[in-house]
Amino acid sequence: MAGGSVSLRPTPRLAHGMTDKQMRRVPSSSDIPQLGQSLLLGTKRRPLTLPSAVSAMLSTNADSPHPAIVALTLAGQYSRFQRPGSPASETLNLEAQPLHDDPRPMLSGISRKALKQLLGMLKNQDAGAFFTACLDEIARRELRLHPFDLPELGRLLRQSDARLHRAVLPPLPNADTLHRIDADELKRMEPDLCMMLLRELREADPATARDRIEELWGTMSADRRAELLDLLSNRLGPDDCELLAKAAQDRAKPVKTVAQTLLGRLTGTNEYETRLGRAVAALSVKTGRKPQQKRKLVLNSKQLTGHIRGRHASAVSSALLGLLPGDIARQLDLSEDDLLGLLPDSEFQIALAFAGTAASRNNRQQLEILLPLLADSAAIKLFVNDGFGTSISEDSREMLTARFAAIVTQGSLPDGITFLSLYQHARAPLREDMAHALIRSRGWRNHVADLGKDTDTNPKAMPNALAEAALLIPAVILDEFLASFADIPAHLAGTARAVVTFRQSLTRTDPILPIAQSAAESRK
Amino acid sequence: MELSLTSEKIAALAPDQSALTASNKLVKPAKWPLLAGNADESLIWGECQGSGATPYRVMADLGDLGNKCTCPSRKFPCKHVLALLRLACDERERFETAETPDWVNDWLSRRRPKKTGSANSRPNKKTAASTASFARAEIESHVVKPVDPKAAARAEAQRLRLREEREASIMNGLDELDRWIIDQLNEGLANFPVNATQACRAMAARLVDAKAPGLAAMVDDLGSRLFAIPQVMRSAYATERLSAIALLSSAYRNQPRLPDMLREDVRRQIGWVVRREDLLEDKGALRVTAEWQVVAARSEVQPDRLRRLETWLLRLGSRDSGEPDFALLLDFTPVANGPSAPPYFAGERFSADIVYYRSAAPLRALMVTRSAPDDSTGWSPDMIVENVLQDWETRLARHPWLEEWPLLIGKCRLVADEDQRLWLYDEMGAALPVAEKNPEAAAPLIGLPDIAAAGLWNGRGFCLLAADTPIGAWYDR
Repeated sequence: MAGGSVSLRPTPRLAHGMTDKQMRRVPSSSDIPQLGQSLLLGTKRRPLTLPSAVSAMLSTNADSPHPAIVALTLAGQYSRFQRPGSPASETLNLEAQPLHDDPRPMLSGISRKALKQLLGMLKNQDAGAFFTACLDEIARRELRLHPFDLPELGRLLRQSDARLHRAVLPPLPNADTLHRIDADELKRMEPDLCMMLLRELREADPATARDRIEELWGTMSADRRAELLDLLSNRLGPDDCELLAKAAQDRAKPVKTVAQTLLGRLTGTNEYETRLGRAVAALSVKTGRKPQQKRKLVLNSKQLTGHIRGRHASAVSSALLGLLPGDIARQLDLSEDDLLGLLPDSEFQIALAFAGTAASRNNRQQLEILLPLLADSAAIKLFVNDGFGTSISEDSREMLTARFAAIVTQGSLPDGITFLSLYQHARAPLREDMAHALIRSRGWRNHVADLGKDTDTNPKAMPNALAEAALLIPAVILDEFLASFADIPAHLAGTARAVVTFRQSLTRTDPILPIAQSAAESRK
Repeated sequence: MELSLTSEKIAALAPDQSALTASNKLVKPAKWPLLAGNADESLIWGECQGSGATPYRVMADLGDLGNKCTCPSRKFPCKHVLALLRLACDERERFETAETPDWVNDWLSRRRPKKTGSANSRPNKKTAASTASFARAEIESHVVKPVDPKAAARAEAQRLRLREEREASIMNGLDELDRWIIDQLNEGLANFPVNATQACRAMAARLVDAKAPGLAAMVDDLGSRLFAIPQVMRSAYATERLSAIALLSSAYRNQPRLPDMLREDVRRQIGWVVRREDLLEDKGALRVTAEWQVVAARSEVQPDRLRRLETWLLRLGSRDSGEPDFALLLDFTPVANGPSAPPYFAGERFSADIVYYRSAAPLRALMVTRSAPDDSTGWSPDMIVENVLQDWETRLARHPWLEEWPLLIGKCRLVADEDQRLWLYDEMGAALPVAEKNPEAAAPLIGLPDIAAAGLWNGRGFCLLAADTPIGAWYDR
């Protein structure tokens, strides 16, 4: 920091009221460094030499402080009035940050407050999921988070996938322009962001995404290669075989594992045949002893998965996912229709896995047969948690959403996790008719009535799905939704009301315009 | 009338997260056989059913958020008070309007001098909606005086004797301090930082014994602060601070030669306390009635286990009046059972009557009355870097012990240089170095054009407190 040549003579402003005599007593700045040396090294080693003006002043005053203290005071006060140096303007970056160039409007003050209030009401384990849902809503309205909130929300952003949400990131290419990003550009990006864009590219244009993955392949670490390869699980097809076969020869175990898993879902590959063989060996058709007993598929899950009991459902679904019911039927000497006919009386995980396979292949006809077989709300959680939903088309997603919404509506006691799973599957509120059916259903009315009965019960012990359901209700019927639990007190319904307040604030308040737009508005 | 009871404010009041979480379980009417408030909605009270047979009696003044609960919790405020406030915030309709019960009146009478008239006759909401700065600023109120003239005379004589004793003790302490400083100078300040903590602590203890606690804190603080700054700057910093300490010692000895206002500063800096009641009754103290905005609400635990609560207020509207632009409301509470944050939060606005402690550079103040803001007056910054530096130097010349001073700079932008150091750069091309404790929080401000920044300048760096920007207000939380 350059102090510059600072005169100790007071500026006219500071010297206001000083007489000429007083002004003459003020020492000059050239005296100070010498004093400073003595003070630093010690007056024993380097005796003080006070400026003549000061010495003269001290000699006339019997009560004067010790010369060393006078020197200290002078040096200290001199230093106090030193101004900091200014940087050369060419070293300063005067450009706005990219986040201020974002043309999307930002959340209004009311929405910002409502969002923080909602997040403050959530338990840690729920905050990430709700935050992501809020970001979805923000992105749907083509808004973005306010930059000033990013540091405060940093902990949540770091903990959850929300960090890579479009409502948080600067503007990125959309589905139509994603294919223009070349591999060099992707290499320069933060790895997680690169992965996110490739995931979206895979959804929009599977072949180009595969090309980009091949181009990036050699530059990535083993773990990243495994993640890259896993992107192919979405819209997996025979064209991916070549890359997967190459990856199956990779020296890194994580890469090999992913490659073999995906090859196992592609018909005609050795891996598929191996999985098929294992599945068929674990499945058998059981005929009842009495004529009225129905035939059903019996699954030896230990043989199929080797998994312990607690992970049974999830492991069974994963082991069967990707295998075509027709292929299994042939091996069991059944027709495909016969096999599907056995499913209503069999374990629901088998139907769920077949539904996942049909959804990923966009086999609408088979989905229509399989979806009515799913009646257990556990199916929704499994479908979301096991990642079946990441690789299905929009069309299939809509069919699944409708079925899952029906399961929730028909359920006698909806629980929050099921609602949240349903939201995470749909990533959007339900259709208006489905939401209407939900809040008018007997299950929902009973749930609200139960909450209203005993307000003194420990809230933790009570199932309370109000807040999670609030994510699923379309904006136009939020008022009706609120009215459905109007009598429930704040300690039980506060979070749900906060979700609604936040969502409604997005439509009922004016967002903050970005700088360029607000300047243009003010010029009008 | 409460100005703006919000969940943020209630969260800020909570001593810790567990108290806040525990209060959630109490926010249900079944736990509250009684919930009531007075007619002008400035006072609420309730009975909360705890684990015992007798419910706890909980009461709160919505003006300054003063509160009381009969539970044995050592937390302040306890979960019952937090729950009562949350009910008042979210479910106001559950409070019935009632006459203030005796147990609430009893609390009111103990927390402030009795007012003339009934306990219920509170000032109207416009003129004196609430008190603030934690000090009740009830200028009109009568302080009960001793009626026995002999006892009064005895008390006065005692007070004078104690005062003289303390003056003598302080003088002795100053002599000892001077000798200590001379010893340090003999040895040289280059080596001073090595043993500063121990040396300063010992000297500070002697100054406490000499009844100069303010000066003691300055000395003690020097020892600890030295290690918070880069090593290369330590000797220079030690020179500056020891210089200020020596100058204070000299000024105290020469009080008769000092201007009145500076003398007040010197005495306060040494450790003499100006009682709030005295300041509120001081007709000569500077008073400013204006629209104010809270630009920062900060809390810091001091080495003496007291929590220092700072509320920085910026005067809104015209800067031409010559009145101070800022006011600092300062309070100290015990760490164990006091509030953990000031009762205001950054961004809050209100009309208020502020009275400043007498000073050559008025800053610390008390709030006399507060009411809802009349309009949305802006910050109106008109100072550039050169102006504010001149302003700082003028104040430093008047009050050499200023450690930091609030500045308001207009039409500037926060920029980073090649080494990623931050600067506040004005339209004339002048820049102030930014000493940001939390660079991540300030990062979104970088590059934004045409901002007005309020912050604290200590002669070396500018610590941003708040900024008015084209995309809204920013606060360092």
